[in-house]
Amino acid sequence: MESTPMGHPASDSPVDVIIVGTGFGGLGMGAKLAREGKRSFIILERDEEVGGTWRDNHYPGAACDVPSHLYSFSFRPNPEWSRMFAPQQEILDYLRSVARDENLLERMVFGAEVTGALWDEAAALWKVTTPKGEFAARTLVTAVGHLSEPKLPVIDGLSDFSGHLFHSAQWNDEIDLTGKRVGIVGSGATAIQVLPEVAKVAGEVVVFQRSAPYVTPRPDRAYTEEEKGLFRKMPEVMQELREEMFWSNEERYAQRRGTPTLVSAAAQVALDHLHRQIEDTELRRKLTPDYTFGCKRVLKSSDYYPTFTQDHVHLETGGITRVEGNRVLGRDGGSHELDVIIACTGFEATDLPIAYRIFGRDGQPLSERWANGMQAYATTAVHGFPNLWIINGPNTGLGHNSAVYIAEAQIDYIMAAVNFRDEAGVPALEVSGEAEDAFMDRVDHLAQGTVWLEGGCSSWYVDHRNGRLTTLWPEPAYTFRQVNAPFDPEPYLTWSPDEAGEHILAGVR
Amino acid sequence: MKIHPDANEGLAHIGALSVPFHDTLAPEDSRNTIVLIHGTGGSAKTHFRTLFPMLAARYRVLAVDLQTPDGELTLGALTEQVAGVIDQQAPARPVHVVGYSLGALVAADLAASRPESVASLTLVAGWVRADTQQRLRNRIWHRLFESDQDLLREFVTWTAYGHPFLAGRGDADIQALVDARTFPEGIAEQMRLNAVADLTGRLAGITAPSLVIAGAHDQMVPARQTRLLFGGLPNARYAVIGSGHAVPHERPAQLFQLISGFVEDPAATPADEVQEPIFV
Ligand SMILES: Cc1cc2nc3c(=O)[nH]c(=O)nc-3n(C[C@H](O)[C@H](O)[C@H](O)COP(=O)(O)OP(=O)(O)OC[C@H]3O[C@@H](n4cnc5c(N)ncnc54)[C@H](O)[C@@H]3O)c2cc1C
Repeated sequence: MESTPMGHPASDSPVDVIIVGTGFGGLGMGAKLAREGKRSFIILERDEEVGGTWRDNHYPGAACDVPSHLYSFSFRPNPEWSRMFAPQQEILDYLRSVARDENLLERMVFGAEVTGALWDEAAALWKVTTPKGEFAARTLVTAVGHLSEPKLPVIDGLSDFSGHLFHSAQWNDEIDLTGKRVGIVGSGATAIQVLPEVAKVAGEVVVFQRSAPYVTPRPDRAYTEEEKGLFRKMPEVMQELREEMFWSNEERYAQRRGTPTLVSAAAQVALDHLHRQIEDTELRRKLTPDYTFGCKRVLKSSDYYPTFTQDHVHLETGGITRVEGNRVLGRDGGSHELDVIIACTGFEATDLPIAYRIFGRDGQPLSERWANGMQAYATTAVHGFPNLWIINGPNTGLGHNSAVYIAEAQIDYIMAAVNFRDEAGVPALEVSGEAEDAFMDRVDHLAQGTVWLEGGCSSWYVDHRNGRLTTLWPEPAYTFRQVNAPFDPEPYLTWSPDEAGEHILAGVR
Repeated sequence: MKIHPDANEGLAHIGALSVPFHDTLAPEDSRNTIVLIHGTGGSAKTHFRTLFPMLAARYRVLAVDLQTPDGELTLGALTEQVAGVIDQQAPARPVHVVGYSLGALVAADLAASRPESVASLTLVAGWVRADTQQRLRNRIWHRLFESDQDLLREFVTWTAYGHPFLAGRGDADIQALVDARTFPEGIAEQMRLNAVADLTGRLAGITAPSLVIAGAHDQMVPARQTRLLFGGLPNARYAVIGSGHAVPHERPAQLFQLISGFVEDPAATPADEVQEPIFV
């Protein structure tokens, strides 16, 4: 491939594949393409650095909650993980090493936010617009994340807050929290990591909790030098460990299937944890969840609850009415003067921004196809969008296992699809609308009876527009691979120019 | 609490015995039936609390609680109970039989004596005939059972689970496993049967497609013993799980995927082959 003097690939000649995003998804796809060595490709990234989630979420206390030997690529085991749950910096370093060692850096264009991607039917090419120029490719693979668009809470007057306000995924390193009065909005996966760290330095901390999470012990520990040495010398030991971690996570899936014996046993572990760590009955009551175990993400922390026993840490559960100047007013009449508000309020997961920027056959925006909630065949292909495959899009989230395992299954699928297309000598593959609908019916059917739909909570797993489970995969992670990794050309259509110059859709086989 | 919300609990009367079962049968459920047979000292609830609900999402599941009659216990006496429950609850079509530990010997005995009832056979941590290593453990077990049941609880915990499983847990978790050990009525008789039961020569007549699953770290029934089932069965494939003897407790999700994959398509792995490990 040609490179311009500026170091990024030339934008004038089409490539085989454009990948968007440099998180686990984009890097995994790039690594597989580079290892296969058959195709030209580039990777577009809006930021100036690789890493996705693990570049953006550098808040104090940030770490994964799936063990690192599992939360990493199967084809790039890392004997150096310092701990069972590695901190953010280490995960980011791992992703940087993947980009470097898999020779992906020279194919990346940074500062290249995709603002539009248009399917040019006549040329059978995706035309992609970015501030770094126009790019074209036969195949477009988006890996822009499903937890990459920070979502701020809707609170009256919040934007006029006279102190400092930022989202946890856009941490403001300029602000020294030492001695400050800090408000943390939210009590989800991020808040429980942030709170213990902020409480170490802040003068006062108030947590504004809407709904109490289930929190289970986090069995974190450092790996010894002997262990790391063994991992280096006998990588199969790492693989055994990985399998142990995978299957023990898979077991937790059974708790999500609404089996009362298992759900109550699992909930008891969390409630016992709360009782051991919090003695005050009023505080216990406020920290006790009011919905079925597993309906929202089950969290892991061994230092979250104890933080509330410190005198300068407060828990507000009454809800916020509005913000005035530097004061946050509670529904119960109370108010807190604060210097900093940290919004640990999660991400836009059901209405993905990238959908407004992708235009398929006849210029149809993906957002329009998805106006009633997102859906994709095999979680990755959409009718009306030829040669587009989506990584970590609809029905790819897991409540219980590693997102990297999911992305790898999708990558295997995409590799097989692209190879099939080129061997068959057809310009494009497009999944049929019937196959897509049938797939979604199957997902809906599998989701029935799961705790996410019937656990009496509101969560980002369910799209409020259609009441469907659109972000989560409702079955075990291994079943995801079984169902979604093998490529079958059967449901695909392709087109070829007929004599009148118009395009007809026909089954590939 | 029931083992699963859809499970109907009932009794089958076999001779003088009342044999409890748990059956998810619902009207119009035409899915394949999986019959679960537990091992020594267990019950459907203690051995299959996680496996049962996992399977119940895809199959009709029928689990038997084996009873130990008075007098000397034989394999045949247990097989008769399973056959009786199948005859009462699921006579219409051959069923997919899954036996664990001593239950694996019962399952094999059933497949040999009533081939028409068995659509497929999955044997988990089973064996053909106890060897000297197994009989030594069995003797220690009996002596501790007579003399020191507290110590027996620790001994059984130590032998039942794989060493990676135990080593990966904290002291409090280990203590909880020890404390949870009980010695239900009939267990000593079942332990005696473990030492003498013998399938030698009976496997060659079993035609049902079979899957033999061994625990890599099994100290009670070492994989070298389980492998002999694979050696003797004419239509078998073999898979290994990285667990100790307590496979359904240590790796229920992996066991579930192996069973489900096999029941869906018994020939997916050809006979006589070792199954590819599941991708992780
Ligand atoms: C704090 C936190 C902790 C988590 N912990 C875990 C965990 O322990 N285990 C687990 O399984 N999952 C965890 N997750 C989920 C996590 O998001 C996934 O595991 C995984 O990192 C997603 O990878 P990705 O490549 O799909 O997306 P991302 O990592 O989000 O990467 C997307 C990339 O695309 C870029 N991009 C977006 N839009 C555009 C555009 N228009 N043009 C160009 N580039 C664009 C972004 O800048 C980003 O670099 C966590 C998430 C968060 C937020």
